[in-house]
Amino acid sequence: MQKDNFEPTVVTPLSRQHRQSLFLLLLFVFLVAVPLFVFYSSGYRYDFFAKDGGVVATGGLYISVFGEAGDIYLNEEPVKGSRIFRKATYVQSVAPGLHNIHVQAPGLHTWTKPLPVFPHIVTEAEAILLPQIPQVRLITSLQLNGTNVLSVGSTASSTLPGLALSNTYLISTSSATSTLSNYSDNPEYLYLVNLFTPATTSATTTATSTRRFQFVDEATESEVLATSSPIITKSRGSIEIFEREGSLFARYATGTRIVPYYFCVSTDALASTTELYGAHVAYGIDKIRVIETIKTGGDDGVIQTRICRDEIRIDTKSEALISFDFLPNSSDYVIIHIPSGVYVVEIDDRGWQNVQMIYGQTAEAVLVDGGRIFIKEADVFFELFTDLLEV
Amino acid sequence: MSNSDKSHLLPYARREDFHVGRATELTGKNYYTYRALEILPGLASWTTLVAVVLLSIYFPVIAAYFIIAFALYWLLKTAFLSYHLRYNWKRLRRHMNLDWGALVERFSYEHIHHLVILPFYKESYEVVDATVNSLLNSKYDKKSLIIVLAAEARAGETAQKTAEAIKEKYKDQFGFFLVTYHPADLPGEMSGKGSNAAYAAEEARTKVLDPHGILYNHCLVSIFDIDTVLYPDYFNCLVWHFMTAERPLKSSFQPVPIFNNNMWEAPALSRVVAMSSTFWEMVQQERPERMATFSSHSVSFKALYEVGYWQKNMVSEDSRIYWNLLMANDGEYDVIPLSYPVSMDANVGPSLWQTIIQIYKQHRRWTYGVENFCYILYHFMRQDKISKGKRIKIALQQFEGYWSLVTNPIMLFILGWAPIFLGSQEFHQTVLSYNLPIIVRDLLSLAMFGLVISSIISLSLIPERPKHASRFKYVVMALQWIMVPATMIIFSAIPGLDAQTRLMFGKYMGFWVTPKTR
Repeated sequence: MQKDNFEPTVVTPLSRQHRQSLFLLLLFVFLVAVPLFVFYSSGYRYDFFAKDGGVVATGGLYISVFGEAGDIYLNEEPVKGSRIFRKATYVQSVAPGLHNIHVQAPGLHTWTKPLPVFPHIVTEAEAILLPQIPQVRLITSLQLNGTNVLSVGSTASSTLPGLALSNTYLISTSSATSTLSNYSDNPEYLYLVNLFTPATTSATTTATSTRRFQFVDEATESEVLATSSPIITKSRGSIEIFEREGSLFARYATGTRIVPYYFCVSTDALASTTELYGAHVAYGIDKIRVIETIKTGGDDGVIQTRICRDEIRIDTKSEALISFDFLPNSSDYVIIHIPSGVYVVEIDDRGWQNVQMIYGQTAEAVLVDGGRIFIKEADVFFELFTDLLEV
Repeated sequence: MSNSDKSHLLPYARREDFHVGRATELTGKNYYTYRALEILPGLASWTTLVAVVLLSIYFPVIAAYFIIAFALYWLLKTAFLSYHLRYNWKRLRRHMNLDWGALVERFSYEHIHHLVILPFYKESYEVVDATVNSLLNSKYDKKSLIIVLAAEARAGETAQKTAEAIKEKYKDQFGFFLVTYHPADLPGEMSGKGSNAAYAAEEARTKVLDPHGILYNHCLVSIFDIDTVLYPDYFNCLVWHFMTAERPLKSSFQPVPIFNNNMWEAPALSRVVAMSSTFWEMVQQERPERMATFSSHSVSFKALYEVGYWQKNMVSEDSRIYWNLLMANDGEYDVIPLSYPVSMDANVGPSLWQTIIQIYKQHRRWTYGVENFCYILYHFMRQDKISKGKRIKIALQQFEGYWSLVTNPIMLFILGWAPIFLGSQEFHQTVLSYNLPIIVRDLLSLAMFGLVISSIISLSLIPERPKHASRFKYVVMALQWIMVPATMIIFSAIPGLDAQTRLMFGKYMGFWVTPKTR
């Protein structure tokens, strides 16, 4: 070690007085800082513009994004909150009241929702951003060296211009045997043909064949015979979706320990449920299943009461439902196949349900298999993606 | 020991239970008292940890507030300790650059002899040779040094040959050179450094001090671990502090153990843990009223003789000797910080895994120093010549020290997140639940700035870079401090909890000798 030019004097240890002064200073900092930190962490903020007293109790918003990430706006202002996870944002110090949140990104549907924020409470929501232009992969019956071959007269030719294709294809202009011999059968097409073919007739299917429910997914499916109309229930995790009297509903399974947040609404003395969440939610809370209280301490510390509904009605755009299933990798979104196309609807109906079109044509049938969505058209299939294809 | 054999002991040290090592050595009410004291530290630590978990489950809001306050406390404590560390670092550097030889010239100290006790077990010839050679290189009259190489008879022939070879090499270089062989399995003794050192001290008394008329109050005993390499001015520095001490014969003198002998060969993990121990001792040097002796230290032979040397029946004899001296001297005993270093080895095994195991065992042994807490409280209940205020203050300081050693790192780095994982669904919807990880993370990140100071200080304390070592290693040595949160849990909190739990259940530990390999 190098020698420094220190004075040749012995240094005494820190004096007791010096250390006591430092200790007392830090003790003072601690005693002042602890209540400040406790109040801050609970959502209290000092509002310099408040009329009566400067301290206000704020709440928070936790917005996660399913699928593609987007920019989050709170009351039309971009949010620069602390990003906890890659696709989730926690916005703190939000004033209590109704706020408009929207999440957007180029090429994707905009997700928007009015949500109430309460003091000390974080309002959760999950946004979904699906491509505005359907992102698909073409699957034809014939291939040439691995490339899809579309015959010139195919009805799919009229469909393709409105889609973003992930793969290339050839158009066959000849039906000559010599030409066809160069092509090979597409095994994936054959697989899908089998998949879309209705199951062998049985007592059950006979009874339910009045409606074609063709989704085949990892979600479990059960059919209940009813005298009026058949009910098909699909479940994933703790969520079940089912059709009843022409309408589609979601509910959480009996015995669910953690009720999904969107089934629950907070009660507020200053505003009605209709004002906060919409009349449809107010109607729904007639079927209360759970009442939760959030406390900061004993019984006197109740800061909010939440009512959890039994079921939520899924928006089908007032059209007849052809089929439905869960969106792959989620139990919070439902794919509905209706005459005007294929849509994804969020179950969360607070404010309203965001409905995003993922296939705007009248598909012959829709099916979810192994976490993938397939569309059947007259003589081709499409695999439908929920992310933007890389260009 | 008969009463006539105890005549040289101070009155309080003549008690039968003065050298109590564990509850089983006592009977009747004393046994139960001591046993309760053995249970207390472990019980307190476990209760705290379990309470935080239960609080997180049933009262997550209160747990969250507690954790935020605790993180804040930790930040301020880090700032407080860093301030002490930085001050001691400056003091240490200045002391290392002083010409202590010139400073002691104003004193008449020729009558002072230094009895240097070097307990060793099976360490290699090279390790022992380096230590004795550093004594030879000290800037002090070698004829005033009495070297006692304290070997263990149970260590076998190889150790005996090492001792004899060292003696043959150095016997003419010092005033006296004695090799002692501590017999194995003496009744009432535990195999370990304490029993060996006590045996060596008594041998030196009967074979060197008494025959040569060296007065006990003119003899300073320095006990060094066998891997200790002295800096040249150690004895001058020691003499200066001895001569200027308010009550030199009622004081122990504590150097700063810097575990840096093998710093360039040791893995990063070993370096961080070793240097953390050094830093803790540096902090303690600035608050001597909380200090006890640790590892290598010096003390007058008279003081030692008056309490019957180091205890032979327990593990942490290096700090216990201070508590023995404090009790026997009715509380009128000090530890004087030298702020002068001695170099020791960082714990290194033949492989990384072996190193991890060795560090763990070494730290479990060190944290087994919690056995001193039982001893202190037991005698504080009986030693009424020490003021009540002083007894309460020391007891609380010691309790807080052993409690925080075990609980603080676990609470901060693991249980700090417990309310988030264990709290109810209702709690998860609160702003508090979302803010808790953010605030704790930010406070701990701020506290980590203390590591920057650690990094700078550690770089200034490493030996000169050997030619075979890359300059890049400096970068590694600077960045290695990010491992501190993990090392605090793995090599401080967990071995501490292990040690306290063993004591709590009466599973008493023996002395584990840290292998010294270079």
